[in-house]
Amino acid sequence: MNNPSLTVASLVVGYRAGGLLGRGGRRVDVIAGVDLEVHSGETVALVGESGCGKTTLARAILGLTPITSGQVRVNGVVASGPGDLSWRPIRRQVGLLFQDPVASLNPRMTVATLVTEAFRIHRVGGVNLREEAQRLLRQVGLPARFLDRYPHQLSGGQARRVSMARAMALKPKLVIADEPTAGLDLSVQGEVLNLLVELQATQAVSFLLITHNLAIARHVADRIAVMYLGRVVESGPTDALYSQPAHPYTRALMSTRGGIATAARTVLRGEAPNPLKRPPGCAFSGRCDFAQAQCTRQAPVARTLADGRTVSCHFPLTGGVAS
Amino acid sequence: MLDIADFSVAYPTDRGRVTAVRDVTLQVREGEVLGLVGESGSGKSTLANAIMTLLPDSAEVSGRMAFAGQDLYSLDRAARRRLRGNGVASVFQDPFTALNPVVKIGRQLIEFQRQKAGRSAAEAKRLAIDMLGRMGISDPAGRMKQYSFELSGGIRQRVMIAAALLTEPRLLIADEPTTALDATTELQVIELLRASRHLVRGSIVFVTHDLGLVAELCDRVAVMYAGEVVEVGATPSVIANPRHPYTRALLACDPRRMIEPSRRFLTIPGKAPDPVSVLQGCAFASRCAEVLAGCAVERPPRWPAAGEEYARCVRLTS
Repeated sequence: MNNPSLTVASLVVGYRAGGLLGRGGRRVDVIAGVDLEVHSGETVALVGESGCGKTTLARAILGLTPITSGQVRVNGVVASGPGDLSWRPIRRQVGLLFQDPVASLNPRMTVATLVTEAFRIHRVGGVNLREEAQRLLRQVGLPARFLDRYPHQLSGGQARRVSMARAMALKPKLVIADEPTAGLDLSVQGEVLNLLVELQATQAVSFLLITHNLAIARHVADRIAVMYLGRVVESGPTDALYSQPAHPYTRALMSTRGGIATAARTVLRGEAPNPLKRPPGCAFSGRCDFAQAQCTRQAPVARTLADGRTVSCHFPLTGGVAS
Repeated sequence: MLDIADFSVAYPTDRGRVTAVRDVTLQVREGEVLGLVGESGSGKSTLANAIMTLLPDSAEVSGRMAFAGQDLYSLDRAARRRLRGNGVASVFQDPFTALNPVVKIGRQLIEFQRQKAGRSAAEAKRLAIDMLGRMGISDPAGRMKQYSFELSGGIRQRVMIAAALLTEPRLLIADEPTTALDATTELQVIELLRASRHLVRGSIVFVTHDLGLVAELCDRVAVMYAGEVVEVGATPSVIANPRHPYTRALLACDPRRMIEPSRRFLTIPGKAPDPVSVLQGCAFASRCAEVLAGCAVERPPRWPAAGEEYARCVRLTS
């Protein structure tokens, strides 16, 4: 249970902004130093609001976005630079569920071709693709008659099942699911979540679940990592973060509608700062009710509290240390 | 304020006649906030568009839709448009498409008020700046000079709400106004809507797929399924004591309402009836956990038959 299937260490993803034709200008860090672990068989939810870097982080883990520094390790395979060939084995071991399943499925391929595409891309020979396709569909609860259908003939829920079969094709140890239920009706959302939970139990796969839906994260995740402006500001066991958030941003997030029903509401002032104008000190200090002089001068360093969670805050609200 | 009776909307399509709204009876009272709730394909947006008289020409409308005593669909086009311009305002899900990207915010906010007789441009400008301030927007005078693409989603939605309120509508239709927003931004907008309710003298129809949002903001709620209103009632009683099995199922599916953490999620098996099919009986019968023998054949009547609040389920009548 405790050997990590994913380790992200000091990851930075920066883009050049300003300048001409991508030259010169200033580097803007969209991911500004992220550490993250997903243990085998575990579900970690990465929560945070649009623009905080969740999706960029997912892409960087697969080498789909060039990383500036830091490293990614999946099942012992380490990749670090843009030209690093190790991204290929990493991609082979990670299943990916995209946000918009219909758009991610090639409209001119049949379901059978779509779910076995990974075998062709990674040149896995010696398998009967038709049989594999059938097995994969069975795994996600679709009957064999779907094999010859095209994406436009699928409902939203069915398209998600096909995407899931695709992600599971090469028996990955880790699946990254980017907003797997966004845009689904409540009555269908449960089906997709039940399937994720079931796959985890039967296929021994770990999940990195990227979502802005705190209610789903609470039910499904073992641990939660909260991102704000390109950094993980708090991470730890789901129970702990829900019952006693330590970072003031986690507290505000948990007081929204998906969070703790009984929490007093924290309506934040203004909006998250632009990564181009990252404030000195703590990025959240300008909106924080608890900020003190130190917060605007010095960026907090991540530290582990007595109850095992990690928080980047000078004055955490709980967790066994006096503030 | 708004009196809808036996109202239906249908479209001819290649596959046949699609009935998007079926035989809806619903009243919106003076000064109330009514939630119109349903999943995709339930007909809630078609009904909202019908209230705004924004249905496409191909729509076949029957029944009564009276706004301030006048049946909208018995008026000629020009009269209908005048009525809409003078009394109905709307806020949509995506404020980006509702604002003109090449005209500054301020000018648009002034234009929106032109229908209001006797408002000079200077006064309209003053009112616009004042309203942006009330919407919690910092530096309102500066924002007037910006374009919509320079604003974040949350600010854009505030600008749209300001625009709608500036016209002092008798009826405001808000169609999923917080769906595209982040959680903390949504919370800002919910609190804003709650706080600015007294600025709307008229009624508000709040269209959403989210019963939780209705519980936050609406006095009464109408639940739609497959083109029909299956239940109408005061929000607290519908949430605490849903009378229609669909309302019950929808509430049970919501992970936000599951108190104990659980990895088992409830669903509603099956799918909504094909809108092309001619429905007999109850639209929800094929998915209903409490279905009776007669449900598939006989359409459940409104119960109680008199009054504005009802549910359509035979179990209530027996």
